[in-house]
Amino acid sequence: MPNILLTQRCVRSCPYCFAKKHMGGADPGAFLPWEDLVYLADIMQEDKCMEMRFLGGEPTLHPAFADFAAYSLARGFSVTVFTSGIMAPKVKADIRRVFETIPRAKEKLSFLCNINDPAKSPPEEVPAVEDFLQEFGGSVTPGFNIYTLDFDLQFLFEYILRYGLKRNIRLGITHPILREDNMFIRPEDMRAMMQRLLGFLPQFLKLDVVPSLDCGFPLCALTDEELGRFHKAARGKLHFSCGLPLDIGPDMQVWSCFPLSAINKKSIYEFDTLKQAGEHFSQLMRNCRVEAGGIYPECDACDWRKKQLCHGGCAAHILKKIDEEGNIRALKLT
Amino acid sequence: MTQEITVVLPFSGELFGKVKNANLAVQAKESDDLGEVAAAAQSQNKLAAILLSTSKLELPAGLQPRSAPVSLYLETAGRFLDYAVRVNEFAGAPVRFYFPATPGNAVAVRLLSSLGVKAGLDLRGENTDWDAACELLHYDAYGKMPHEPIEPFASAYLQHGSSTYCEAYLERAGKYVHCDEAGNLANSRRELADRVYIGTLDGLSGLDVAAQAAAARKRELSVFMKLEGCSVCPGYKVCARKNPAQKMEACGCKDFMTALLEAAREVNLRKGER
Repeated sequence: MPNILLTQRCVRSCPYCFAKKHMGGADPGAFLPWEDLVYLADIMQEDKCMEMRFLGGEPTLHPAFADFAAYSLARGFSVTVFTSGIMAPKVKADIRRVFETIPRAKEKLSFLCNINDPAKSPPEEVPAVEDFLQEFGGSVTPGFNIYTLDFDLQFLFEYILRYGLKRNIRLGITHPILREDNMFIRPEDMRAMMQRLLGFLPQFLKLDVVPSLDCGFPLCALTDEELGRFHKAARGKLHFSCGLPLDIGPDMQVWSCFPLSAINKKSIYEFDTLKQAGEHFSQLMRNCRVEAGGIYPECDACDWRKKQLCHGGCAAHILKKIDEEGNIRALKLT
Repeated sequence: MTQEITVVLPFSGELFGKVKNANLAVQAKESDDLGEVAAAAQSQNKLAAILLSTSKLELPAGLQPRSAPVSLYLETAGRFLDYAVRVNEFAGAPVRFYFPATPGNAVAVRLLSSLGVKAGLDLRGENTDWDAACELLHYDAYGKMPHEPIEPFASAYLQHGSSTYCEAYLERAGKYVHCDEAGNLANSRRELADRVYIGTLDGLSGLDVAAQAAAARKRELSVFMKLEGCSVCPGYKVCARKNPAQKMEACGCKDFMTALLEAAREVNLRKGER
């Protein structure tokens, strides 16, 4: 399932931004053109991949964002928009029009709103996000990126109740950006981070909210007993994998997840199908994992990794380590 | 004789009364009801097509599901969100939307085509953006997913690229004659505007269409009297200066016409392989 970056512009400057490396090197004015959206829709349809995932930057900054969503819906895709929720009134009016006029938009258009803790956000951002949640809450899954060990999820539970958001919180952990200085959870802090997260499990259960882990969580950060508790709260949908999503930029460059963008970016036109692109980046990832199995030295010999139950954390940690070692590996970072 | 050619004429009961059993392509106005247009045209003639210049991307009033093909000419499609809700209606209607060949309109045609709506570019304008047309041609001929064929490319493919693309606009000497409100006839829309008449509607039955077509062909071939410009253009075969608006000195269409010819070969080759 590819992620399509409509633009690399963003309205926020999050200290953890995992996309920063990529954003910094790109033309901030670039927007995905219509012709390329049609091309992507074609190759996705050909691969029977009928979900459009619009990312940014902030995808709603694209001047034709709502038109892109309407077109994708008209083509039969479902559309998920990864947004900060901070957008101009005109964009919200356009989204309202999409919901009101496009058949089945209520079922097929949804938002994954990445919400930062209001206590740590610039004051002007909070009312903008809350306005968005107020209006479109029923179509919004809240998401939260963990970048410090003292994180708090209380505000998300309150938002879910106040604005009727979907009862699911997508939890991501922040990863290092190659050759950049961003805030992220270090491998040695994974256990403490999970402990903090486990502290919120009673509230997840009490409010019937499902925690959903994004990629890069290591299995060994939980004991078996903790894993059992988490498994129940997540309703059995718990994974410790690296999904290798394809990210496609507004200039039609493709890479596999932001961490891998440092070592090999291609044009989507170099591949005949999305499957072919996926296979290319899977091979790159395998090469990377040959150098180091995971984020801990123990990952190399880990049985659970061999059995594919855990992928050994996010490859960004491995790449950062390799990059800092100097030129001693077979894998070359460019 | 009148069955062999189609008369492209304005919606006028008076003009319709001057011919019988003729093929008519009627130019209607935005305010006209297409049901009434069809009824009047078919009272003693055959309705082959309706042409309508309009300002809004929507189905015209009075359009019948089994109507003769309707070509709607618009300046621009406007914003997708403004017409998205009507796309399903468009897809099933006997209507093709034509736009001047600008980059924005080429995108609109691509969107409509990908959604199963019949659409096309009008390449006859003096400000035609040939690059935009070429990109759209590439999508139409080599695109990955099935889509509604785009005009005038589809017309050009039909004859393996042998100079028929203007037929999409009902322009071809010997096959169409164009009539003005006074009943004058000309070989093309442009010649009608320039008052290069070949006869009148009253005398349609006596019009020597074959001679007119031969004369038009002779004019086309006169380009080869000089070894320059169109006569050495690789795209001439599909272009043939059929477009009356084209100027030989700097028509700018060489790359496009060459690509159209190649696309026609490719599309027909693929058809042959199936």
